[in-house]
Amino acid sequence: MIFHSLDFIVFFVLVVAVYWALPFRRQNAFLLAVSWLFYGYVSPWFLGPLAVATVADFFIAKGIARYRAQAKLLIWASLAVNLGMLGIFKYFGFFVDNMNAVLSSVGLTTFELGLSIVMPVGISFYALQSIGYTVDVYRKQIAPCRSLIDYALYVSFFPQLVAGPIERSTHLIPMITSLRSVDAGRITSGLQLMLWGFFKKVVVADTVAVTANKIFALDEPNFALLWVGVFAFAIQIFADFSAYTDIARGSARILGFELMENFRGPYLSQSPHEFWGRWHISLSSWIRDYVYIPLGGSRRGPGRNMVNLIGAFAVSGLWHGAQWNFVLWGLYWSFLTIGYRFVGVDTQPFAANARSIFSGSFKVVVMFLLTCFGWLLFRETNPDYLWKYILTDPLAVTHDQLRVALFLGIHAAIFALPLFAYDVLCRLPSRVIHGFQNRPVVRRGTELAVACLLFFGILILRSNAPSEFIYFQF
Amino acid sequence: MTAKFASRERLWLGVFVAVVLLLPAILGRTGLSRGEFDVTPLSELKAMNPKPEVVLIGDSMLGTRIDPEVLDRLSDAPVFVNILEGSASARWYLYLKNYLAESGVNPKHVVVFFRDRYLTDPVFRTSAQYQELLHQAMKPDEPVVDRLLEGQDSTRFAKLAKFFEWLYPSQQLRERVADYVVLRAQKITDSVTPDGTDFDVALDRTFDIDLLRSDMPSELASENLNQAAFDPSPDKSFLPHIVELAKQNGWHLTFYRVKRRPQEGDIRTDEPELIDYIADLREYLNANGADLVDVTNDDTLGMKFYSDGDHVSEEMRPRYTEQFFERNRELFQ
Repeated sequence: MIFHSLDFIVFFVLVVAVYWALPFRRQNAFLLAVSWLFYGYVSPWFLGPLAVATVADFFIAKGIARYRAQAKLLIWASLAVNLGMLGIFKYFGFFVDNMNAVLSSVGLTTFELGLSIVMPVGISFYALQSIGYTVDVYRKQIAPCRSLIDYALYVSFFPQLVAGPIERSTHLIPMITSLRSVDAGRITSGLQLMLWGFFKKVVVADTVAVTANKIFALDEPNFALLWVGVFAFAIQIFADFSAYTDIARGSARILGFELMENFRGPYLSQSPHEFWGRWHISLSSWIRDYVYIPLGGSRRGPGRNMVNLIGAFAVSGLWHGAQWNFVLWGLYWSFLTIGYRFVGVDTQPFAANARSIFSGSFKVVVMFLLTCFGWLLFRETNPDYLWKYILTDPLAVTHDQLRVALFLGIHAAIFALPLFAYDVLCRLPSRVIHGFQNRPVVRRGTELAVACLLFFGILILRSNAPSEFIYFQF
Repeated sequence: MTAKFASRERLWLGVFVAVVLLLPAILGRTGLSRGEFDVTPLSELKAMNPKPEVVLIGDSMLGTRIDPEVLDRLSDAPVFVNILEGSASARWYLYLKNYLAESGVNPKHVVVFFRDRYLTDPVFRTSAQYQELLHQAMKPDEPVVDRLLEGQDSTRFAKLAKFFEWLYPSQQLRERVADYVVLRAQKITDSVTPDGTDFDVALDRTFDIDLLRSDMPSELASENLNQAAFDPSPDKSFLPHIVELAKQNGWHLTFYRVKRRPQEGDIRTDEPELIDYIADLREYLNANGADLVDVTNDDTLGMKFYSDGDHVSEEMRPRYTEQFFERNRELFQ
């Protein structure tokens, strides 16, 4: 089931009504049942791999706690189950294609081996969440779940099952196992978050997607047009993915859960390090805690640190998709991070003076341009086209082509304005935000006005070309 | 633990939900609601003198192919070329029923320009940006349209979706806002880079189908037409209703299937299912006193005629019109 569908609206209203009418003991079983309904709504067979991962890691974690001597072996078993499923459903074709490329390059016979199966949506997300749980039990950061229902709900909780945020066991499981409560404030703020998510998806992402898709469908876009396409894609992917997170967080909040933040104004970052602390936070922190730090992090000297960074970013890239461009994208970010460290540029908080504002803004612009270059690597899966795009002549643009590019860029920028305004508002000094929160009448009035505006905006500004969430493919 | 609220909180929550849901419903109705039946085309038809004996209708397939002035000059009989931009079978039916039939014009021939399966896909171009144009051609009571459009909506909550459409009649405002945003973007662009080709022309040139990557789907694929076999059931398409209207009004109907953009050289090849579909369509039309003219296999209509997609270029339009006239000369005598 997809969030921006009438089916989901009906589903969610019914779920909330029944859920809060149930006693606590039945709430989790009910949430699990509806989560599986949500996930298997279109393709019930998707539930198979989900059930396998759930049952396997539930018992593996119990085994880790009970048989400490065999704990490492059991961790490997958990990795084998989860990465094995990822390998079959996501990376098998990629592996065969690359094997064949290697074989044919040395003159050997290639082999025809294809699995004509659809990758279950969300498998990359719940596989990481499940691995995270067994590792956390191994590290004794959390005790294994006693109830299979509770654990299954941790893996399958419908708001975040398909595209995250990738929750930590130490954060989500205590919420599952303890009494939850909700009040009017949480419900209205949850609704507001959902509306903001729907707005970002159907108004911003789906509108700029038309521009990006049209430009990336061209055989030889000129330089100006290409970069407008990249700009539009940068807006699209941020609006699209953060929209999913907001709808997930909003709906979870109404059910009494507080999911982790996944985006925090990433395009206002001044350095790669800051960007990854603001973009897809649940993935970047997962990679840090379960890949980068176990590899040694920065504890084994600068040389090893660089290797670890490159490895962690390559894993992050490959996680996004079984294509070399994603690996390239990951490597690009690792080199960017290392380069920034080498040069010594890092984030400085904006201070109330002109020099700080100018230098901070300059860093933000440079970082955004570098991020956009990364999005070009991410968006273009065909290496021939990618190379052609990179080599596009900046001077070979006619006046009319420039006008078209400018027009499309301005059109995309108009739709990006609400995102920018929101991120700037989030960075207001805390005294302003607290001052606002301490005035209940002003706060409630503003909340109501914003919610009305968002809903009305969805009605009159939504795109005529709705599309699926980008991160469903990962 | 169930949700427990103090009565003040409950009241606030109720107010919040009610205002958020109802205020946009009210705003959407403030003079910007669903379009009323537009009588202008009817008045224009009634005022025509001389009354046209041949009426051509269609979407941009007609608009980019037929030059009304050239056709008027060639034809002995008075001709009316009515281009209904972004239209398909639902609007063609409504135009013939609510305007042409009611106007008393009573032409001898009605020619409908169409592509491939347009005639039997009733929901095609009836929603989103097309909805308002459809509503403007609808009278308060349109049982055929309602039945066909609702009957085709196979989604689980079709009735609820209809209710929301009624509750939030925002389509007209939506189009105005979209146009306004485009206009603002154009104005800003003009202020930065004045002079240059008309925007629409420049955009068409930029995204010409010839400039697309080879691994991109064709325009047809993106239009997402119903790919089913030919079915003339009155519950599944507007075609039998159009045929019936023609019978009732004594019009001779000709359906003119345009040649889509050639694929290789000057040739356009249909897939086997479409060939069967067109054969069934022809059989049905002939059995009901109507004609099908299909120029898909006409190699003289080569690539040189086309601009973007299936559209014919402005320069070739007079030539195309002449060819059309020659091919269908008997209609214009």
